[in-house]
Amino acid sequence: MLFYHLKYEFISLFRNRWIQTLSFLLLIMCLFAAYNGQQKVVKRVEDIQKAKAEVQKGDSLARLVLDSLEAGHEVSIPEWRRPNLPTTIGFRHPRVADMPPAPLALIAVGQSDMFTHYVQPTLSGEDFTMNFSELSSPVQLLFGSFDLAFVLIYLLPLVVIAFSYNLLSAEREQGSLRLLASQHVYLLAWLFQKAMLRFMILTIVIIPVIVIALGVQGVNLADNLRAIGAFLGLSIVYALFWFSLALGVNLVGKSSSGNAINLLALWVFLVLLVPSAVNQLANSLYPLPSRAQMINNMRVLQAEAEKEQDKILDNYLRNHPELAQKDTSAQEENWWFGYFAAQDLVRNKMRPIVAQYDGQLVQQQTWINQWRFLSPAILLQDSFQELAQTSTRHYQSYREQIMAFTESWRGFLIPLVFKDQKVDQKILASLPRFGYQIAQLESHYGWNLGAMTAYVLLLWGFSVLVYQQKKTGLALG
Amino acid sequence: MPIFFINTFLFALAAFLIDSLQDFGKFSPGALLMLYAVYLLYFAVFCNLTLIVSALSKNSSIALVILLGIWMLSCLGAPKAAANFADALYPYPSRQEFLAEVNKDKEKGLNGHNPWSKEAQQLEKEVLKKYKVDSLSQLPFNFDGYLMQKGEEHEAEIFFKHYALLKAQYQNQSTIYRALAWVSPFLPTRFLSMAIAHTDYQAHWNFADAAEKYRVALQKALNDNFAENSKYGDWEYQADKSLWKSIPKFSYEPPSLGFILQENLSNLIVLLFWLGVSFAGLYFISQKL
Repeated sequence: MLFYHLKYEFISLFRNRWIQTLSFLLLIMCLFAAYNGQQKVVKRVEDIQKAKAEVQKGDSLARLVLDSLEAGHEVSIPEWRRPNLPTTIGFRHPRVADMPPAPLALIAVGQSDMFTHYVQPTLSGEDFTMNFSELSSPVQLLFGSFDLAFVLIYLLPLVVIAFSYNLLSAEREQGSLRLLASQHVYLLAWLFQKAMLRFMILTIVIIPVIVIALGVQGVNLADNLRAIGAFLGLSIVYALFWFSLALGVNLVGKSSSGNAINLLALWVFLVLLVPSAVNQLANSLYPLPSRAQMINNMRVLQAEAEKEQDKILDNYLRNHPELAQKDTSAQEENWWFGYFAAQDLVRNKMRPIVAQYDGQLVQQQTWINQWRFLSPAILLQDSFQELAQTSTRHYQSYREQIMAFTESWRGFLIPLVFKDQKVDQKILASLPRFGYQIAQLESHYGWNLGAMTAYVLLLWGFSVLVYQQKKTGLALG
Repeated sequence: MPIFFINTFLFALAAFLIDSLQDFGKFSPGALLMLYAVYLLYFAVFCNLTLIVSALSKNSSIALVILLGIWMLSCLGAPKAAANFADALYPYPSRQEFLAEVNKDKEKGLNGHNPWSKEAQQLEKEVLKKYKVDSLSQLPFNFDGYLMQKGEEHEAEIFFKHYALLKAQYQNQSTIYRALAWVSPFLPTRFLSMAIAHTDYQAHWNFADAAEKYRVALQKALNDNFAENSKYGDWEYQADKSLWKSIPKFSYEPPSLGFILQENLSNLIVLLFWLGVSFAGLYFISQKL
């Protein structure tokens, strides 16, 4: 009996053009979203390549000048800008410290429109105030991106709602529910199968649609099978959550329009309100100290340090005897010695302020991580960004890697300044290089998938409970 | 009618709350009234669309699904798609690229803190010639101060040029938003409401430009004072209280409502177009029923 019902249901969905409309709509949306995501990735890669090409150009020029200097030729560059000085290399020939996109970066723009993907740390010592935010139009940031994450998190539930808000109510409104109730059919099983049929259809449509959308944009499907599987798996469980919610609402509600309104209200609550409330609260509870204030603090410290440059240099050399030269008169003459010594002092004094800033950021993240279980939409967003490597945690890790790289850049060049050593071809070739390490973060995927599955099971339990209570009333309306 | 009353109630409540806030700053009843009118127009468009769809649909469920689709496309999809189109067609430079361009231009010109550069030497020669003296100490003012001011002017010009390029790019992006406003009543409403509330990009620039103008004037006052009152090579000079008294305080006057409406005329026209078309559609359908 149930088989015939399902067959009839399938045919009616096909004749109503539901399946065709659904497939077409999802295909168009996913193709467009993947295209948009890829555009951002392409721009990111191009920007990095352009910067690296500039560095290479600078390096070859520096090599030529070094050749001439080593051969004793005259060069037209003023002495203080010559590449044989470690300070010239440190300030004028910085390396590109880049964060290349992950293979699935196109699925979720995440924080990638907020943060920069390459920086070029110098010897200026102001790396902690370095601006990692990207230049973008605020309108762009306000509206956000039409990426696959948007389609799946925001639009897919609406498609599910449109597909299933009248699972039971339509039958009741058409009078067919009474007929059905008079037969040997377990009403809940019938309703459940009806919802699952729609879910299966959606799953069968969405898998090839997403695979096509990714394939068209040049994602290597074979190499990223695991990540794509994880992406699809979570999206499918998310759709199942919305079907289960529709099932519960159908059991509780009476009319189709009432169900639709209830489901839309739940959509607004879970997809729009909860995520923005969690974010907003994170900002209010753990506000980030103002960047302008931080820079101001640094300027005051720098001004103080400038006044006592000589004293600072003495102390600095006492703490770093390896940098002191036997002939102290040379060290007193070089302006850079005082500069770097003062810089060291400012950096040490700034450390607690920077730590406070980082601490607040970590607190915000912890808060969002804890409360993400409140809405499946946040869980999905969290996992998508993890797969796309565009989450706040990834950018935080990138920032930390930059800090470490800046230290090694300084650690390599500043001793050369103090030892009055000139840069030659060999030193130029052995400058520290930055290699981005994919952030080794604790994966949220298992937890997110588990929580979403728990939500689905809870909703099923809820449906059974409601059914037990309303059994006969359901058919009679 | 209910929408009208809810909107009226909400705006009356907003007016009351804003008025009772002590540190609110400038409250403009005219702007709030305009905002109220914009939202009334917007809601009227959606009321008309709802009536048109429900008149055309076979049953209420289908009408609901269609309306949901319209809302999804016009309020969720269109703004994001517009943002993507705008960014793809008129991309912003990356921050690093922007700074590199600024630095390139800076190096080409005068640096007020580097008297040994070619440009500074050139300026020195010109000034000596102009005042018909042979050394900087014979000048009637402190050349260091003069050089710093010239360097400052050069730098301000560079930043002005590069920010102008950014602004131009945003203006280009705006043409995309304006074009797509014909597709979605959400876009003109959003832009109008941000503009009236002084929270749009224009408002930010208006303020930033005023602050920059003030900064340039402040720098000039300081450098000129240093140049006029100290001798060449004298870096110990300290100005007295009178200098700070003579510097005017920063005061900012945001653009008037009339000016804002004029700037956003196209958005207003598009919204009115939506209203007209939706009313016409409704009239046409009601004749047919």
